[in-house]
Amino acid sequence: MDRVPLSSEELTIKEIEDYYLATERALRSFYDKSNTYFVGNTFDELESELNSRLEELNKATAFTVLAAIEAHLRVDYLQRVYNKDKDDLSRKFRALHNEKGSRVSLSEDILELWKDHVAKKSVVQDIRAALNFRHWLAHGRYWVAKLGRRYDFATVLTLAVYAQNVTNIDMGA
Amino acid sequence: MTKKDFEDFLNKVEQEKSETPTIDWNKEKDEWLAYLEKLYTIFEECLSEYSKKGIVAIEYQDIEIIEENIGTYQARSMIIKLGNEQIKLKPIGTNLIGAKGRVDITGRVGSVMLILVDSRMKSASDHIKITVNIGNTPIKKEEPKAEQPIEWEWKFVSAPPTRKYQPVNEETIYSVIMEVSNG
Repeated sequence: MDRVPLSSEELTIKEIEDYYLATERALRSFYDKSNTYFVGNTFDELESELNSRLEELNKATAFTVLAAIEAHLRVDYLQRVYNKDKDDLSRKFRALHNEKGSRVSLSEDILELWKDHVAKKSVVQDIRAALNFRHWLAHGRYWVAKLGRRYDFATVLTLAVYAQNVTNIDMGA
Repeated sequence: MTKKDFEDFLNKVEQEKSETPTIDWNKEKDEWLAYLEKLYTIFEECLSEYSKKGIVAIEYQDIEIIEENIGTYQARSMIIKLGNEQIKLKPIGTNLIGAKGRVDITGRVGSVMLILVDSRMKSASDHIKITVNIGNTPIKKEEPKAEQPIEWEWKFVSAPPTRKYQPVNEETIYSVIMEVSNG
């Protein structure tokens, strides 16, 4: 099977966090009442618009974090296969790769194998559950998502840290 | 961050609060409502020729406005009826950013904002003065001017980002009516 050419362009969790913080500051600065752009607006309008923008930033960045977690997990999977690592998980990844190549399911295949190789299985479950939020965002949010819990940038950021810790994959968190 | 830093910060915000001028909000409300009526008079005068012919009808509707520091009060909303079109002039309030009053004009296809500002302003960017500095020395230093009373004037605001101001006169009133009605 052809090797996937790896781009090394996957973002670190820290890069995404830095982007979020800088953009949040920029939005708050822009939506300051001293900005002449808003001459004529009521203060409620200003606050409402700022809150909408922050909410959208929150969702968009949460999506980017989840995409980054996926990228790091997939790169780890491929590297274990290409490097022919000898540990148990890597052997199982090689068997999976022989069967499915790079077209493996993150949730059904990669995370399913990770479940038996982490100290805290619940983190793997949490990542799988969060992928439903990722799918909802990626596919345009058009249905009422039953996510079981509220997801936002802070939650997925915490999830990224846990994922890094349990897998020992350096996600830059 | 020491306790002293925090106390200095508290003193600073307290001082800023004491330096903020107290506003007579009832007076502000009354003045804004008076200017609102002046705006309606301008519109009525511009359209009087056509309302006399029965082509244009002007009605008023009482609406409730709720504003922070002022509370709830009544104001008139103007409705201009021409043919099948209807243009509404809805007063928004006086507790605004950089303006003494605002009225939103809405028609079938669009809306335009009217704001009550210093008559000298030609665009939103006129609301600030910029001083250029190199290091600690300002390049441009404006001589302090004796404070002149503001002459408030209604202006149409063009869409962002330019937000230029147009005077309210017969020509601009006709233009805006056509613009929001797809004329």
